[in-house]
Amino acid sequence: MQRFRLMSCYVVLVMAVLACTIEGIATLRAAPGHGSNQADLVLRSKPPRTH
Amino acid sequence: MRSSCSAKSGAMVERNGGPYPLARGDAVALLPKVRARSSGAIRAVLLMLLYPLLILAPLATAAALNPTSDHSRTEEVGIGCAAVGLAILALQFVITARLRWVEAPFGLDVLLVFHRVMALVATAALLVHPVLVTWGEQWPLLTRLRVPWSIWVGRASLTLLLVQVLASLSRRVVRLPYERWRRLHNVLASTILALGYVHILAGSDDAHGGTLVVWSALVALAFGCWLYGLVVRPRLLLRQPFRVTAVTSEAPHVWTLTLKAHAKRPFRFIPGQFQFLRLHGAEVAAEDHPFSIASSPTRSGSISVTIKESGDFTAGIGRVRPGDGATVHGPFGRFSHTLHPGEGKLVFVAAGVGITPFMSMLRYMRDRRESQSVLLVYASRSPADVIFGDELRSIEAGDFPSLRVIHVLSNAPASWLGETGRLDATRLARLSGGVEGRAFYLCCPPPMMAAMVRELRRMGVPPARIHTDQF
Repeated sequence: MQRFRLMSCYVVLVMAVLACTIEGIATLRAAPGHGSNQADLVLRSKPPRTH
Repeated sequence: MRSSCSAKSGAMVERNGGPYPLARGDAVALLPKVRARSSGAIRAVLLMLLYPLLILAPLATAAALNPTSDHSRTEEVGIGCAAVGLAILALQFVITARLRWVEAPFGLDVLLVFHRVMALVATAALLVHPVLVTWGEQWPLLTRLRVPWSIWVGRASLTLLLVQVLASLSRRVVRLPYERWRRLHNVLASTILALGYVHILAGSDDAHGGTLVVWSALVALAFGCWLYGLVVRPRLLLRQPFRVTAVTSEAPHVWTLTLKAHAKRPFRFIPGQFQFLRLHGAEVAAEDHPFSIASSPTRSGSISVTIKESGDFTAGIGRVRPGDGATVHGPFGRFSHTLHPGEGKLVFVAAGVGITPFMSMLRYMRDRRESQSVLLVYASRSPADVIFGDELRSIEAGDFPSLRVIHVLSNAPASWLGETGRLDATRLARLSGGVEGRAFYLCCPPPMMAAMVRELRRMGVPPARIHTDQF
Protein backbone atom coordinates (compact mmCIF):
# COMPACT_ATOMS: atom_id res chain seq x y z
CA MET A 1 0.00 0.00 0.00
CA GLN A 2 2.97 2.24 0.70
CA ARG A 3 3.88 2.19 -3.00
CA PHE A 4 0.39 3.30 -4.05
CA ARG A 5 0.42 6.14 -1.51
CA LEU A 6 3.79 7.35 -2.75
CA MET A 7 2.48 7.17 -6.31
CA SER A 8 -0.51 9.36 -5.40
CA CYS A 9 1.79 11.99 -3.86
CA TYR A 10 4.04 11.82 -6.91
CA VAL A 11 1.10 12.33 -9.30
CA VAL A 12 -0.02 15.43 -7.37
CA LEU A 13 3.54 16.78 -7.44
CA VAL A 14 3.93 16.14 -11.18
CA MET A 15 0.58 17.81 -11.91
CA ALA A 16 1.60 20.87 -9.89
CA VAL A 17 4.94 21.10 -11.74
CA LEU A 18 3.21 20.74 -15.11
CA ALA A 19 0.56 23.34 -14.30
CA CYS A 20 3.12 25.86 -13.04
CA THR A 21 5.37 25.33 -16.07
CA ILE A 22 2.49 25.71 -18.55
CA GLU A 23 1.39 28.86 -16.76
CA GLY A 24 4.92 30.26 -16.60
CA ILE A 25 5.76 29.56 -20.23
CA ALA A 26 2.40 30.94 -21.38
CA THR A 27 3.02 34.16 -19.45
CA LEU A 28 6.50 34.55 -20.90
CA ARG A 29 5.54 33.79 -24.48
CA ALA A 30 2.19 35.55 -24.76
CA ALA A 31 2.08 38.43 -27.20
CA PRO A 32 1.63 41.80 -25.46
CA GLY A 33 -1.64 43.48 -26.28
CA HIS A 34 -3.09 40.36 -27.87
CA GLY A 35 -6.32 38.88 -26.66
CA SER A 36 -8.34 39.92 -23.68
CA ASN A 37 -5.84 39.43 -20.90
CA GLN A 38 -5.19 42.99 -19.74
CA ALA A 39 -2.96 41.81 -16.92
CA ASP A 40 -0.33 40.95 -19.52
CA LEU A 41 -0.49 44.43 -20.91
CA VAL A 42 -0.07 46.01 -17.51
CA LEU A 43 2.83 43.74 -16.56
CA ARG A 44 4.63 44.25 -19.83
CA SER A 45 4.18 48.06 -19.88
CA LYS A 46 6.04 48.57 -16.62
CA PRO A 47 9.23 50.57 -17.08
CA PRO A 48 12.43 48.55 -16.57
CA ARG A 49 13.98 48.74 -13.11
CA THR A 50 17.16 50.74 -13.12
CA HIS A 51 19.03 49.51 -10.05
CA MET B 1 15.75 -13.33 3.46
CA ARG B 2 18.97 -11.50 4.24
CA SER B 3 19.53 -13.44 7.43
CA SER B 4 18.81 -16.81 5.90
CA CYS B 5 20.52 -16.39 2.60
CA SER B 6 23.82 -17.97 3.43
CA ALA B 7 23.21 -20.94 1.14
CA LYS B 8 26.02 -21.53 -1.28
CA SER B 9 25.95 -23.51 -4.45
CA GLY B 10 25.48 -27.18 -3.63
CA ALA B 11 23.71 -26.62 -0.28
CA MET B 12 21.04 -29.19 0.52
CA VAL B 13 17.42 -28.36 1.23
CA GLU B 14 14.32 -30.48 1.71
CA ARG B 15 12.26 -31.53 -1.27
CA ASN B 16 9.07 -33.29 -0.22
CA GLY B 17 10.90 -34.69 2.77
CA GLY B 18 14.05 -35.63 0.85
CA PRO B 19 17.30 -33.81 0.15
CA TYR B 20 17.36 -31.54 -2.87
CA PRO B 21 20.61 -30.02 -4.13
CA LEU B 22 20.54 -26.37 -5.02
CA ALA B 23 21.69 -25.78 -8.57
CA ARG B 24 24.20 -23.08 -9.51
CA GLY B 25 21.45 -20.88 -10.90
CA ASP B 26 19.45 -21.26 -7.68
CA ALA B 27 22.24 -19.84 -5.57
CA VAL B 28 22.42 -16.80 -7.82
CA ALA B 29 18.65 -16.38 -7.63
CA LEU B 30 18.65 -16.64 -3.85
CA LEU B 31 21.53 -14.29 -3.06
CA PRO B 32 20.59 -11.23 -0.98
CA LYS B 33 19.23 -8.44 -3.09
CA VAL B 34 20.70 -5.67 -0.93
CA ARG B 35 22.70 -4.04 -3.70
CA ALA B 36 19.90 -4.58 -6.20
CA ARG B 37 17.43 -2.96 -3.79
CA SER B 38 19.53 0.17 -3.27
CA SER B 39 20.25 0.52 -6.98
CA GLY B 40 16.53 0.01 -7.58
CA ALA B 41 15.73 2.95 -5.28
CA ILE B 42 18.24 5.16 -7.11
CA ARG B 43 16.75 4.10 -10.43
CA ALA B 44 13.25 4.85 -9.13
CA VAL B 45 14.27 8.39 -8.14
CA LEU B 46 15.99 8.97 -11.49
CA LEU B 47 12.95 7.74 -13.42
CA MET B 48 10.64 9.90 -11.31
CA LEU B 49 12.79 12.95 -12.08
CA LEU B 50 13.07 12.05 -15.76
CA TYR B 51 9.34 11.61 -16.29
CA PRO B 52 8.22 15.28 -15.86
CA LEU B 53 11.31 16.44 -17.74
CA LEU B 54 10.37 14.31 -20.74
CA ILE B 55 6.77 15.51 -20.60
CA LEU B 56 7.89 19.12 -20.57
CA ALA B 57 10.67 18.67 -23.16
CA PRO B 58 8.63 19.69 -26.26
CA LEU B 59 7.03 22.69 -24.54
CA ALA B 60 10.31 23.85 -22.99
CA THR B 61 12.16 23.46 -26.30
CA ALA B 62 9.51 25.48 -28.11
CA ALA B 63 9.68 28.20 -25.44
CA ALA B 64 13.47 28.29 -25.54
CA LEU B 65 13.70 28.45 -29.33
CA ASN B 66 10.73 30.81 -29.81
CA PRO B 67 10.58 32.98 -26.67
CA THR B 68 7.66 35.04 -27.98
CA SER B 69 4.56 34.22 -29.96
CA ASP B 70 1.65 36.09 -31.47
CA HIS B 71 -0.91 34.27 -29.29
CA SER B 72 -2.70 35.57 -26.25
CA ARG B 73 -1.82 34.18 -22.83
CA THR B 74 -5.02 32.12 -22.80
CA GLU B 75 -4.15 30.58 -26.13
CA GLU B 76 -0.63 29.87 -24.91
CA VAL B 77 -2.00 28.01 -21.90
CA GLY B 78 -4.15 25.97 -24.31
CA ILE B 79 -1.13 25.19 -26.47
CA GLY B 80 0.85 24.22 -23.37
CA CYS B 81 -1.93 21.88 -22.24
CA ALA B 82 -1.90 20.15 -25.63
CA ALA B 83 1.88 19.78 -25.61
CA VAL B 84 1.87 18.30 -22.12
CA GLY B 85 -1.15 16.08 -22.81
CA LEU B 86 0.29 14.59 -25.97
CA ALA B 87 3.71 14.07 -24.35
CA ILE B 88 1.99 12.18 -21.50
CA LEU B 89 0.20 10.01 -24.07
CA ALA B 90 3.52 9.27 -25.81
CA LEU B 91 5.12 8.19 -22.53
CA GLN B 92 2.17 5.90 -21.78
CA PHE B 93 3.68 3.52 -24.35
CA VAL B 94 6.91 3.38 -22.34
CA ILE B 95 5.12 2.86 -19.01
CA THR B 96 3.10 -0.09 -20.32
CA ALA B 97 5.87 -1.68 -22.39
CA ARG B 98 6.79 -4.03 -19.51
CA LEU B 99 10.42 -2.88 -19.65
CA ARG B 100 12.28 -4.51 -16.76
CA TRP B 101 14.28 -1.39 -15.84
CA VAL B 102 11.11 0.68 -15.64
CA GLU B 103 8.98 -1.94 -13.86
CA ALA B 104 11.40 -3.34 -11.30
CA PRO B 105 11.68 -0.31 -8.96
CA PHE B 106 7.91 0.26 -8.76
CA GLY B 107 6.07 -2.97 -9.57
CA LEU B 108 3.78 -3.43 -12.56
CA ASP B 109 0.62 -2.96 -10.47
CA VAL B 110 1.68 0.55 -9.43
CA LEU B 111 2.75 1.37 -12.98
CA LEU B 112 -0.63 0.32 -14.37
CA VAL B 113 -2.50 2.46 -11.84
CA PHE B 114 -0.15 5.34 -12.69
CA HIS B 115 -0.87 4.71 -16.39
CA ARG B 116 -4.63 5.03 -15.76
CA VAL B 117 -4.30 8.19 -13.67
CA MET B 118 -1.99 9.90 -16.16
CA ALA B 119 -4.32 8.94 -19.02
CA LEU B 120 -7.05 10.92 -17.27
CA VAL B 121 -4.68 13.84 -16.67
CA ALA B 122 -3.71 13.85 -20.37
CA THR B 123 -7.35 13.64 -21.46
CA ALA B 124 -8.28 16.59 -19.27
CA ALA B 125 -5.36 18.64 -20.64
CA LEU B 126 -6.21 17.76 -24.24
CA LEU B 127 -9.91 18.58 -23.75
CA VAL B 128 -8.98 22.01 -22.38
CA HIS B 129 -6.76 22.69 -25.41
CA PRO B 130 -9.44 23.46 -28.07
CA VAL B 131 -11.48 25.52 -25.62
CA LEU B 132 -8.58 27.79 -24.63
CA VAL B 133 -7.08 28.05 -28.11
CA THR B 134 -10.40 29.21 -29.58
CA TRP B 135 -11.24 31.41 -26.58
CA GLY B 136 -12.57 34.79 -27.72
CA GLU B 137 -12.78 35.29 -31.44
CA GLN B 138 -11.94 31.85 -32.79
CA TRP B 139 -14.97 29.81 -31.68
CA PRO B 140 -15.76 28.85 -35.30
CA LEU B 141 -12.70 26.62 -35.23
CA LEU B 142 -14.61 24.46 -32.78
CA THR B 143 -17.97 24.43 -34.51
CA ARG B 144 -17.49 24.94 -38.26
CA LEU B 145 -17.25 22.09 -40.72
CA ARG B 146 -15.08 24.01 -43.18
CA VAL B 147 -11.80 24.30 -41.32
CA PRO B 148 -8.20 23.39 -42.28
CA TRP B 149 -7.62 19.63 -42.47
CA SER B 150 -5.17 19.77 -39.55
CA ILE B 151 -8.06 20.86 -37.32
CA TRP B 152 -10.04 17.82 -38.45
CA VAL B 153 -7.07 15.61 -37.60
CA GLY B 154 -7.01 17.15 -34.11
CA ARG B 155 -10.75 16.64 -33.75
CA ALA B 156 -10.42 12.98 -34.81
CA SER B 157 -7.59 12.41 -32.33
CA LEU B 158 -9.55 13.96 -29.48
CA THR B 159 -12.72 12.02 -30.35
CA LEU B 160 -10.82 8.72 -30.42
CA LEU B 161 -9.21 9.62 -27.09
CA LEU B 162 -12.66 10.09 -25.57
CA VAL B 163 -13.78 6.74 -27.01
CA GLN B 164 -10.63 5.15 -25.55
CA VAL B 165 -11.21 6.56 -22.08
CA LEU B 166 -14.93 5.75 -22.03
CA ALA B 167 -14.31 2.18 -23.27
CA SER B 168 -11.68 1.66 -20.57
CA LEU B 169 -13.81 3.11 -17.77
CA SER B 170 -16.97 1.22 -18.78
CA ARG B 171 -15.39 -2.08 -19.88
CA ARG B 172 -16.74 -4.05 -16.94
CA VAL B 173 -20.13 -2.33 -17.02
CA VAL B 174 -20.74 -3.06 -20.72
CA ARG B 175 -19.08 -6.48 -20.31
CA LEU B 176 -16.57 -5.92 -23.06
CA PRO B 177 -14.31 -9.02 -23.05
CA TYR B 178 -10.80 -8.22 -21.85
CA GLU B 179 -9.08 -9.62 -24.96
CA ARG B 180 -11.27 -7.59 -27.32
CA TRP B 181 -10.87 -4.44 -25.23
CA ARG B 182 -7.10 -4.86 -25.16
CA ARG B 183 -6.87 -5.17 -28.94
CA LEU B 184 -9.09 -2.08 -29.36
CA HIS B 185 -7.04 -0.21 -26.73
CA ASN B 186 -3.76 -0.91 -28.56
CA VAL B 187 -5.09 0.15 -31.97
CA LEU B 188 -6.77 3.29 -30.63
CA ALA B 189 -3.73 4.34 -28.58
CA SER B 190 -1.37 4.28 -31.54
CA THR B 191 -3.93 5.99 -33.81
CA ILE B 192 -4.53 8.78 -31.28
CA LEU B 193 -0.81 9.44 -30.93
CA ALA B 194 -0.22 9.36 -34.69
CA LEU B 195 -3.11 11.78 -35.36
CA GLY B 196 -1.93 14.06 -32.55
CA TYR B 197 1.56 14.13 -34.03
CA VAL B 198 0.18 14.99 -37.50
CA HIS B 199 -1.97 17.72 -35.95
CA ILE B 200 1.17 19.27 -34.44
CA LEU B 201 3.16 18.94 -37.67
CA ALA B 202 0.46 20.61 -39.73
CA GLY B 203 -1.08 23.02 -37.28
CA SER B 204 1.55 24.22 -34.82
CA ASP B 205 3.66 27.35 -35.31
CA ASP B 206 6.44 25.75 -33.26
CA ALA B 207 6.73 22.46 -35.19
CA HIS B 208 10.08 23.13 -36.80
CA GLY B 209 13.75 22.92 -35.93
CA GLY B 210 14.60 21.65 -32.46
CA THR B 211 10.98 21.40 -31.31
CA LEU B 212 10.15 19.14 -34.24
CA VAL B 213 13.16 16.96 -33.41
CA VAL B 214 12.02 16.60 -29.77
CA TRP B 215 8.46 15.74 -30.81
CA SER B 216 9.68 13.25 -33.37
CA ALA B 217 12.01 11.61 -30.84
CA LEU B 218 9.20 11.31 -28.29
CA VAL B 219 6.79 9.80 -30.83
CA ALA B 220 9.52 7.48 -32.16
CA LEU B 221 10.21 6.32 -28.58
CA ALA B 222 6.51 5.58 -28.10
CA PHE B 223 6.13 3.66 -31.33
CA GLY B 224 9.44 1.91 -30.71
CA CYS B 225 8.12 0.59 -27.38
CA TRP B 226 4.83 -0.37 -29.00
CA LEU B 227 6.50 -2.30 -31.84
CA TYR B 228 8.97 -3.89 -29.42
CA GLY B 229 6.13 -5.32 -27.34
CA LEU B 230 4.09 -6.31 -30.36
CA VAL B 231 6.71 -7.76 -32.71
CA VAL B 232 10.26 -7.89 -31.35
CA ARG B 233 9.79 -9.27 -27.83
CA PRO B 234 7.55 -12.21 -28.82
CA ARG B 235 10.21 -13.26 -31.34
CA LEU B 236 13.01 -12.88 -28.78
CA LEU B 237 11.05 -14.95 -26.24
CA LEU B 238 10.56 -17.68 -28.83
CA ARG B 239 14.32 -18.17 -28.76
CA GLN B 240 13.98 -19.25 -25.10
CA PRO B 241 10.86 -21.40 -25.32
CA PHE B 242 9.29 -23.20 -22.39
CA ARG B 243 7.65 -26.60 -22.75
CA VAL B 244 4.54 -27.78 -20.91
CA THR B 245 5.55 -30.94 -19.07
CA ALA B 246 2.43 -31.59 -17.00
CA VAL B 247 -1.18 -30.46 -16.74
CA THR B 248 -2.69 -31.32 -13.36
CA SER B 249 -6.25 -30.85 -12.11
CA GLU B 250 -6.09 -29.23 -8.65
CA ALA B 251 -9.81 -28.60 -8.02
CA PRO B 252 -12.94 -28.20 -10.17
CA HIS B 253 -11.96 -25.87 -13.07
CA VAL B 254 -8.49 -25.24 -11.61
CA TRP B 255 -5.38 -26.50 -13.40
CA THR B 256 -1.66 -26.42 -12.75
CA LEU B 257 0.65 -26.19 -15.73
CA THR B 258 4.25 -27.20 -15.15
CA LEU B 259 6.58 -25.54 -17.62
CA LYS B 260 10.15 -26.56 -18.26
CA ALA B 261 12.49 -23.65 -18.95
CA HIS B 262 14.96 -23.51 -21.81
CA ALA B 263 18.08 -25.42 -20.76
CA LYS B 264 20.46 -22.52 -21.43
CA ARG B 265 18.27 -19.76 -19.95
CA PRO B 266 17.18 -20.54 -16.38
CA PHE B 267 14.17 -18.49 -15.30
CA ARG B 268 15.02 -16.51 -12.15
CA PHE B 269 12.40 -15.01 -9.90
CA ILE B 270 11.60 -14.37 -6.27
CA PRO B 271 8.65 -16.15 -4.61
CA GLY B 272 5.34 -14.34 -5.07
CA GLN B 273 6.13 -12.83 -8.47
CA PHE B 274 4.10 -13.29 -11.63
CA GLN B 275 4.82 -13.63 -15.34
CA PHE B 276 3.04 -13.21 -18.66
CA LEU B 277 2.34 -16.60 -20.19
CA ARG B 278 1.68 -17.21 -23.87
CA LEU B 279 0.73 -20.75 -24.86
CA HIS B 280 1.46 -21.90 -28.39
CA GLY B 281 -0.76 -24.97 -28.45
CA ALA B 282 -3.83 -25.10 -30.67
CA GLU B 283 -6.32 -25.14 -27.76
CA VAL B 284 -5.91 -21.57 -26.54
CA ALA B 285 -5.26 -18.22 -28.18
CA ALA B 286 -1.59 -17.25 -28.40
CA GLU B 287 -1.96 -14.15 -26.21
CA ASP B 288 -0.04 -12.91 -23.18
CA HIS B 289 -1.85 -13.33 -19.87
CA PRO B 290 -0.49 -12.62 -16.39
CA PHE B 291 -0.36 -15.49 -13.88
CA SER B 292 1.31 -15.79 -10.50
CA ILE B 293 4.04 -18.37 -10.24
CA ALA B 294 3.04 -21.07 -7.76
CA SER B 295 6.35 -22.91 -7.62
CA SER B 296 9.39 -21.98 -5.58
CA PRO B 297 12.51 -20.50 -7.18
CA THR B 298 14.46 -23.21 -5.38
CA ARG B 299 13.19 -25.69 -7.97
CA SER B 300 15.57 -25.15 -10.81
CA GLY B 301 14.62 -25.50 -14.43
CA SER B 302 10.85 -25.31 -14.27
CA ILE B 303 7.97 -23.21 -13.00
CA SER B 304 4.35 -24.00 -12.33
CA VAL B 305 1.30 -21.78 -12.70
CA THR B 306 -2.12 -22.57 -11.29
CA ILE B 307 -5.00 -21.20 -13.33
CA LYS B 308 -8.73 -21.10 -12.78
CA GLU B 309 -11.07 -21.29 -15.76
CA SER B 310 -12.75 -17.90 -15.67
CA GLY B 311 -12.58 -16.22 -19.09
CA ASP B 312 -12.20 -16.74 -22.83
CA PHE B 313 -8.51 -17.60 -22.56
CA THR B 314 -8.55 -19.65 -19.37
CA ALA B 315 -11.63 -21.65 -20.43
CA GLY B 316 -9.41 -23.82 -22.62
CA ILE B 317 -6.57 -24.23 -20.14
CA GLY B 318 -7.55 -27.81 -19.22
CA ARG B 319 -7.16 -28.82 -22.87
CA VAL B 320 -3.48 -27.80 -22.95
CA ARG B 321 -1.34 -30.90 -23.47
CA PRO B 322 2.16 -31.83 -22.26
CA GLY B 323 4.59 -31.03 -25.03
CA ASP B 324 2.86 -27.77 -26.02
CA GLY B 325 5.20 -24.81 -26.40
CA ALA B 326 4.98 -21.63 -24.33
CA THR B 327 6.78 -18.35 -23.83
CA VAL B 328 7.16 -16.68 -20.47
CA HIS B 329 7.84 -12.97 -20.01
CA GLY B 330 8.86 -11.85 -16.59
CA PRO B 331 9.18 -12.10 -13.71
CA PHE B 332 7.27 -9.06 -12.47
CA GLY B 333 5.84 -7.79 -9.21
CA ARG B 334 6.95 -6.91 -5.70
CA PHE B 335 4.51 -9.10 -3.79
CA SER B 336 7.06 -11.13 -1.88
CA HIS B 337 8.01 -11.54 1.76
CA THR B 338 11.65 -11.65 0.64
CA LEU B 339 11.49 -7.93 -0.21
CA HIS B 340 10.45 -7.05 3.34
CA PRO B 341 12.87 -8.74 5.74
CA GLY B 342 12.30 -8.29 9.44
CA GLU B 343 8.53 -8.03 9.29
CA GLY B 344 8.07 -10.56 12.09
CA LYS B 345 4.80 -12.45 12.03
CA LEU B 346 3.25 -12.78 8.60
CA VAL B 347 -0.45 -13.10 7.88
CA PHE B 348 -1.26 -14.39 4.40
CA VAL B 349 -4.85 -13.86 3.23
CA ALA B 350 -5.88 -15.81 0.13
CA ALA B 351 -9.20 -16.28 -1.61
CA GLY B 352 -9.67 -19.07 -4.16
CA VAL B 353 -6.94 -19.19 -6.77
CA GLY B 354 -5.29 -16.24 -4.95
CA ILE B 355 -3.42 -18.94 -3.03
CA THR B 356 -0.83 -19.27 -5.84
CA PRO B 357 1.70 -16.53 -4.86
CA PHE B 358 1.48 -17.77 -1.25
CA MET B 359 2.25 -21.32 -2.36
CA SER B 360 5.40 -19.98 -4.00
CA MET B 361 6.41 -18.20 -0.78
CA LEU B 362 5.52 -21.15 1.50
CA ARG B 363 7.33 -23.66 -0.72
CA TYR B 364 10.32 -21.33 -0.78
CA MET B 365 10.31 -21.05 3.04
CA ARG B 366 10.04 -24.85 3.32
CA ASP B 367 12.87 -25.49 0.87
CA ARG B 368 15.02 -22.82 2.49
CA ARG B 369 14.20 -24.12 6.00
CA GLU B 370 13.00 -20.69 7.14
CA SER B 371 11.32 -20.82 10.53
CA GLN B 372 9.22 -17.70 9.92
CA SER B 373 5.87 -17.54 11.71
CA VAL B 374 3.08 -17.53 9.11
CA LEU B 375 -0.69 -17.62 9.50
CA LEU B 376 -2.52 -18.46 6.28
CA VAL B 377 -6.19 -17.54 6.24
CA TYR B 378 -7.61 -19.15 3.14
CA ALA B 379 -11.15 -18.39 1.95
CA SER B 380 -12.82 -20.91 -0.37
CA ARG B 381 -16.36 -21.72 -1.36
CA SER B 382 -16.40 -25.38 -0.24
CA PRO B 383 -13.91 -28.08 0.77
CA ALA B 384 -13.80 -29.25 -2.87
CA ASP B 385 -12.66 -25.77 -3.95
CA VAL B 386 -9.63 -25.74 -1.65
CA ILE B 387 -6.50 -25.79 -3.81
CA PHE B 388 -3.26 -27.40 -2.57
CA GLY B 389 -5.04 -28.71 0.56
CA ASP B 390 -2.78 -31.77 0.97
CA GLU B 391 0.45 -29.84 0.44
CA LEU B 392 -0.64 -27.12 2.86
CA ARG B 393 -1.29 -29.79 5.50
CA SER B 394 2.15 -31.25 4.82
CA ILE B 395 3.89 -27.86 5.19
CA GLU B 396 1.83 -27.13 8.33
CA ALA B 397 2.96 -30.44 9.84
CA GLY B 398 6.62 -29.55 9.22
CA ASP B 399 8.77 -27.02 11.04
CA PHE B 400 9.68 -24.78 8.12
CA PRO B 401 7.96 -22.39 8.09
CA SER B 402 6.04 -22.25 11.35
CA LEU B 403 2.73 -22.35 9.49
CA ARG B 404 -0.85 -22.36 10.72
CA VAL B 405 -3.63 -22.66 8.15
CA ILE B 406 -7.20 -21.55 8.82
CA HIS B 407 -9.76 -22.31 6.15
CA VAL B 408 -12.85 -20.11 5.87
CA LEU B 409 -15.64 -21.65 3.79
CA SER B 410 -18.49 -19.57 2.42
CA ASN B 411 -20.57 -22.61 1.47
CA ALA B 412 -19.60 -25.12 4.12
CA PRO B 413 -21.22 -28.54 4.51
CA ALA B 414 -23.06 -29.31 7.76
CA SER B 415 -20.16 -31.51 8.90
CA TRP B 416 -17.65 -28.64 8.68
CA LEU B 417 -16.39 -27.59 12.11
CA GLY B 418 -14.14 -24.73 11.02
CA GLU B 419 -14.74 -21.10 10.11
CA THR B 420 -17.68 -20.35 7.85
CA GLY B 421 -19.13 -17.29 6.15
CA ARG B 422 -17.48 -14.19 4.80
CA LEU B 423 -13.89 -13.29 5.54
CA ASP B 424 -13.44 -9.67 6.62
CA ALA B 425 -10.83 -7.69 8.53
CA THR B 426 -12.58 -8.04 11.89
CA ARG B 427 -12.58 -11.81 11.59
CA LEU B 428 -9.00 -11.67 10.29
CA ALA B 429 -7.88 -9.66 13.34
CA ARG B 430 -9.61 -12.18 15.63
CA LEU B 431 -8.05 -15.18 13.89
CA SER B 432 -4.56 -13.68 13.93
CA GLY B 433 -4.81 -12.61 17.57
CA GLY B 434 -4.74 -8.88 16.83
CA VAL B 435 -2.96 -6.81 14.23
CA GLU B 436 -0.07 -5.53 16.34
CA GLY B 437 3.38 -6.49 15.01
CA ARG B 438 2.00 -8.34 12.01
CA ALA B 439 2.45 -7.82 8.29
CA PHE B 440 -0.49 -8.62 6.04
CA TYR B 441 -0.24 -10.04 2.53
CA LEU B 442 -3.54 -10.06 0.62
CA CYS B 443 -4.38 -11.80 -2.64
CA CYS B 444 -8.13 -11.81 -3.20
CA PRO B 445 -10.77 -10.30 -5.52
CA PRO B 446 -10.66 -6.47 -5.74
CA PRO B 447 -13.84 -5.68 -3.71
CA MET B 448 -12.75 -7.98 -0.86
CA MET B 449 -9.24 -6.58 -1.05
CA ALA B 450 -10.40 -2.95 -0.94
CA ALA B 451 -12.68 -3.59 2.05
CA MET B 452 -9.97 -5.53 3.87
CA VAL B 453 -7.32 -2.85 3.31
CA ARG B 454 -9.72 -0.12 4.47
CA GLU B 455 -10.53 -2.02 7.66
CA LEU B 456 -6.92 -2.94 8.40
CA ARG B 457 -5.94 0.72 8.02
CA ARG B 458 -8.78 1.69 10.36
CA MET B 459 -7.45 -0.82 12.90
CA GLY B 460 -4.10 0.99 12.81
CA VAL B 461 -2.03 -1.26 10.55
CA PRO B 462 0.54 1.00 8.81
CA PRO B 463 0.43 1.01 4.98
CA ALA B 464 3.99 -0.31 4.86
CA ARG B 465 2.77 -3.54 6.51
CA ILE B 466 -0.08 -4.19 4.08
CA HIS B 467 0.93 -5.81 0.79
CA THR B 468 -1.54 -6.55 -1.98
CA ASP B 469 -1.57 -8.58 -5.16
CA GLN B 470 -4.71 -8.31 -7.27
CA PHE B 471 -5.93 -11.06 -9.58
